[in-house]
Amino acid sequence: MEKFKYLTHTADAKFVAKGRTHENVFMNSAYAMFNLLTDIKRVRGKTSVKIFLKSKTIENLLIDFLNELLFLLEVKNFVPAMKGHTIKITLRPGEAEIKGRIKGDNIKKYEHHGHIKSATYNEFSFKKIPRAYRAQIVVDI
Amino acid sequence: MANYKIEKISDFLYEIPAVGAMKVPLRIYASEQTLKKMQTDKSIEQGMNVACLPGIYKYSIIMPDGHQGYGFPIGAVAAFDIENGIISPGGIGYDINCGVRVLSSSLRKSDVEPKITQILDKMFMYIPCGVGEKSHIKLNDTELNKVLNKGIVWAVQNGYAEASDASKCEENGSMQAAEANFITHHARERGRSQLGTLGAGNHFAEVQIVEKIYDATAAQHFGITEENQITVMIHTGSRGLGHQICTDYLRIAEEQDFVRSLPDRELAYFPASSNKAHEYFGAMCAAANFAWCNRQVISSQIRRAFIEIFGQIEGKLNLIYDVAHNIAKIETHNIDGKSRKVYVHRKGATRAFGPGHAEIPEIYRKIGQPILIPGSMGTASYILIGTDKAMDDTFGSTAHGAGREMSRHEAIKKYNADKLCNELLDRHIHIRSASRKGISEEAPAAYKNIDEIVKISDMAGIGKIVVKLKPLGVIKG
Repeated sequence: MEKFKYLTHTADAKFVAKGRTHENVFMNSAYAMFNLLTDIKRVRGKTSVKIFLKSKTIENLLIDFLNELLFLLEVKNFVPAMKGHTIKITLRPGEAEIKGRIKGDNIKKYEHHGHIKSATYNEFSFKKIPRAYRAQIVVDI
Repeated sequence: MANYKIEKISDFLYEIPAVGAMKVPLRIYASEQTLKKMQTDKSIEQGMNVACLPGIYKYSIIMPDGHQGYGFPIGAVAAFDIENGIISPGGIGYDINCGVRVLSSSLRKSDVEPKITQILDKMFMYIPCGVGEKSHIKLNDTELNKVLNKGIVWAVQNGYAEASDASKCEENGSMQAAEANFITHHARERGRSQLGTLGAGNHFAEVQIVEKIYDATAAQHFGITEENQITVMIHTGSRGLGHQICTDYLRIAEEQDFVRSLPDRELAYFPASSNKAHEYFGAMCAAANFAWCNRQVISSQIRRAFIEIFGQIEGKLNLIYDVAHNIAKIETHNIDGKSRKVYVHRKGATRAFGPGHAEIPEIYRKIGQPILIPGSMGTASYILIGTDKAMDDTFGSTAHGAGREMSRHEAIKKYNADKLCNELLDRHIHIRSASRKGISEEAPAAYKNIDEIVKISDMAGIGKIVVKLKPLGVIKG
């Protein structure tokens, strides 16, 4: 299954990410977002960050998760690697939670360009498709 | 909502009468050609969505450089009643007070062109550019609060501004309603190490030459007296701090039940009389103050570079003006014969107050407010002045820039950075960039024609062209 692909968007960037589990689609969305800034395949898991977020819904949790990673990028220069994450998503009535660690490195060690202001709800969708989950996200650049 | 009928009001103004849930008509400032472009994306549909929001007055307006955004289109202007209307974080945008300033000098092209490499190298050294580059200024909580609550006053007190700089900024560089306490920990942490940094994307600092003077009297007020005179333009905003404030408040706004019925979740708003509207406005004003300080600190670094190369007298740079492109203001406008207080949202639009307005600095009051419209990398920028017609028709607003018309992905595929740099160099335009791909993304052809945009503003009477500026050297993130 293709982890992510980009769709045409004039001013910003739009992508679709897929994954067999919630955890996979969340991480594939993150990879798609950071691949706009650097070649995500090259990033090594030299360090790790702790993630713990709660939102009302799985949809909100995904946007919050991406925005938390953008916060860590700006404050710690953190960019995720494509392997080594140990996140767990738990759904309860009226609550969605993500907890765990993500491996990555300092973006300044890699060729990078541009910036991302935020993950947005514009044209956002999150749905179950046969044998997978699909997220469509526009990030403001 | 996508079905609509466009009526031509004049050669550069079109109207979509109110239909369905629209409370007011949508007005679009465009030429036939730019209108056709707008019809290829969602900008018109988004402008019609804005016309449906509570408490909107007169029109939802799209400026000549309008294009698809999220919630509101980019290039949107809308005014909402201060009590029964709304304030919408998405109607201002993520980069709160993304804006532009221009400084003038007494130097000429012949003085600067032989030293442009040296100037750009110094600017590039003194101004952190791109992702991950931190400011040399470390702000503790007390100092960060002063930046957020006082704006340019902080910069004057800390040696980053001349005393006269403040009066040459919109709002005197300090929005009085700012309230640092309404900003989250995340926003503070993102901003703490970013004061005086340029960022990336379409943000830049540029050494320019005056290519053409259209209105010599007005230009003289700006200290621009002849062609080939040197100016400096800075385009950046409130950096991660502003982005985080928009993210945080949109998140809160988005959780309100009524948002599910909106055509786009990014239209989420706070009713104007609610506590959250008050808190968001306080936080937004604080981000605006941060942005003014950011451009001011960058100015001080460029002033340093010019003085080191040209000396204290010849290297002096005087601030002409500083404008916000993404902001909400409480303003009083004449609406249907009554003077009304409104939240004017400008998202990718420039304030364009006409002659005599009390909020224009005294030195410019007779001629109208300076309007600064940057072009894309390698293209011209313009200085215009505000008009009475803009006050009457657009809540005193006009265009803000070129606006993209090609995706970044396509631009990277289409334009080779080295080739682009060489082409620009052939035109005597020097580039310093933190990344090669950043140059490709910002290829001039990826943007609308800035000459066409300002011509529409001028011909529609919502801004009068004074000066055309041409780039000589650019630094980018």
